[in-house]
Amino acid sequence: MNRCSAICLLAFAILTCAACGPVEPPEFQFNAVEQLKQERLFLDDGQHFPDSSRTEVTSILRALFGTPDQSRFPIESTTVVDQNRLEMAAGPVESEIDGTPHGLYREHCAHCHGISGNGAGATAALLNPYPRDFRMGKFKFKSTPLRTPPTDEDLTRILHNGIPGSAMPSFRLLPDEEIAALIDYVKYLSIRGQFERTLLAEISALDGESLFEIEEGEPAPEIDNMSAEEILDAIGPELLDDIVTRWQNADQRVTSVPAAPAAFQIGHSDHSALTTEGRELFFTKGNCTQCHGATASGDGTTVNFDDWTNDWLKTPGVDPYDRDSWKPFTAVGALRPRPVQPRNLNLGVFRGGDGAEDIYRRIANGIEGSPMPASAALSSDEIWALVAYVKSLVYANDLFPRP
Amino acid sequence: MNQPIDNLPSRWPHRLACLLAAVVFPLIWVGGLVTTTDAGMAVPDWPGTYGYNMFLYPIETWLYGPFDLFIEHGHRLLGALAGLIAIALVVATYMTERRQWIKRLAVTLLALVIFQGLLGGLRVELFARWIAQVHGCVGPAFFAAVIGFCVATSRWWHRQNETREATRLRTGLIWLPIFMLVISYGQLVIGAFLRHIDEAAPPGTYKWLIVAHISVAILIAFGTFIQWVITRQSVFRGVGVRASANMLMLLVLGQISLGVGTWIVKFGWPNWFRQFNFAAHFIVPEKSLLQMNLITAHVVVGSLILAFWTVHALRCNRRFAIVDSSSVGTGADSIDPSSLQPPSQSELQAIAASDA
Repeated sequence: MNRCSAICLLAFAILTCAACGPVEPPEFQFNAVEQLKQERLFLDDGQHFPDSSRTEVTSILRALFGTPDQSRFPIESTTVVDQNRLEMAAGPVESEIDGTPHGLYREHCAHCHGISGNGAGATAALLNPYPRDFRMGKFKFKSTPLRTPPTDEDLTRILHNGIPGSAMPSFRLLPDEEIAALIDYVKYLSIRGQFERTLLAEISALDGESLFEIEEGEPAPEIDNMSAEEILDAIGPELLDDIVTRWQNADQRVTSVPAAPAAFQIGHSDHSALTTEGRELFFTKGNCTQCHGATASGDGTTVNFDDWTNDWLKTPGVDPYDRDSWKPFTAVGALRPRPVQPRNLNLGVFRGGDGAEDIYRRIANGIEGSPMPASAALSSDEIWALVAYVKSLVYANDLFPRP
Repeated sequence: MNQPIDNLPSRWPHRLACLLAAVVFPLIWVGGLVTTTDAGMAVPDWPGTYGYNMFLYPIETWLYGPFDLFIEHGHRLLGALAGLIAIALVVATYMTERRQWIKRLAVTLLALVIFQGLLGGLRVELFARWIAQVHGCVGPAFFAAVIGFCVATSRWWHRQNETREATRLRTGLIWLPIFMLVISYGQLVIGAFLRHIDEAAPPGTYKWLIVAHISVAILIAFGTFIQWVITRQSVFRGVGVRASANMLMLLVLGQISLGVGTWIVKFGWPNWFRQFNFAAHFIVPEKSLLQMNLITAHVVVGSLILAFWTVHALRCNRRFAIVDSSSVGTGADSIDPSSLQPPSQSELQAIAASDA
């Protein structure tokens, strides 16, 4: 019975380990990339902020925002994040007897976007483009201008439709309340991440000193025993209010789209002229060829990185083509830099939506976080002409036969 | 050509083992669905189900309730059924089988199914992902062991007492199947770690697991092809190893297709395809029937490949692993299918006594 004995012993050992070793709940990951960037910007070579600054930021964030298992939003009076939805999306994956789910974020999102929303989940290194890092509060496909958060409707569309040609799936099979819960959790992670960056910037401005005003000889405040209001009062409530207010006001910042000219309709006698005008703008005033190339297949000459990479890549002394210079950043959590691939417009696939209004907004507002700029120099008629041309590119060989 | 054998040991252990295999295979499928649909924590208690005895849980609530509850409770019931059949298998084996190692194997199967059940329960009670990984590794091992039991209690196995032959192709027919069995299981272990990867795992871990998974898949495809080519030789017709090799070749080709499909329905087309229209338009369908079934099929076919390598390795070893030089013939070429005769009663008794 040696085999049985061995199996029994193995089973006993595993069960003992399981019984003795409670599973540690996950924690939000500290934004060490941002801290390293701040150290490179404000300190001499090889210098670091004291460990206490990291501990302080972590404690403040835990006191205000809770943990991945017990998430909470520190400002109860706001409508930006609903606590009930937050509880549905947070925590480990489980469900109640009536099927009410919990842990939606970990079920659907965390493998790519990470528990902390840092875009560096387990699968991230294999995906191209990388999953979104929510902590800068930047989202590509939205109806609001640059440097403005997206609306709930923008995020709902992305979750519902997915992003074609990428690993971002369509969640159209999920009930509406689950999508709403996921959106609130994404906003929660985004606001938490933005606040963390703000705190780190504040600490840098204070040369690594505490964010709390401590008289000489007084002990450091016990953050774990302070309420959210006490903490915010002590460090400055505006630090968080500014971020939350911008999210709250996003609906009011939606870019209105003027009515398309009559010639935009396919079949209109002037449609070809409008498309030809758009083509000229593509090559001249729009300067689209710089990235998208003369054939609009995304083969322009410019090599760019997105804002999530540039955020740390543009730190002095870091060269995207010198592995040794950026390795310290990847060692603390950044993903290795990858140049952005401009869209091949000939495919007729537009990741932010292929409706005429979607493309209008992409041209008018640019794409947040990407090298695609907002077109301040183009009039609305010119933008519509460009939209007409871009939409016609899928038929380019018919419209503009090559010699 | 092969005569019926009336004087062999009771067929009941074999029949029960086949029944157990027939239950364990859908059990693995449902277990795969549990992971794919994230239904593992749909029932928060164990061994009961929402306070009920597992077997007394209201059938209407189970069948018409939430899908994840249906899957998870169904998985538990199937697991319990497998456990009951394993108990019957031990009883039948001890009553009828003379070979001690077969008795030990029956007890091992029962121990494994109990262990697997405990792992499933602990995964629920402790919320522990690493237990899910072990649970995902033990399942296929149990299935392979059941299949091994089926082979070792089959009529074919007993017939080989008369027809065992040495082979010149020891590396190809003895060691290659064993090696392939081991790496097929290793592949399932890597797969289990991929399936149950911690959300907090660093990106590098998943990346290297994928690299390892693809590398081992290439190795398995190559090894299976070699084995298939070996068994295509005419001398292996009718000796019981060609069918399993053919099946393995088909399964491995299917599994590679399923693996590619799994990646596509989970993460979209790889970036190399971005300039193709079909890839640029593709949208990953989260939690769709296609996604759930394709991924689960990849898991299940992995277990089937392990099971068929178990069959093949056992058959090859049973048939050809003769090391006594006096009984070594002229090699694989010397096998004469007409020599496949059933053993006599006295020979069987002598073999049983030697096994004991």
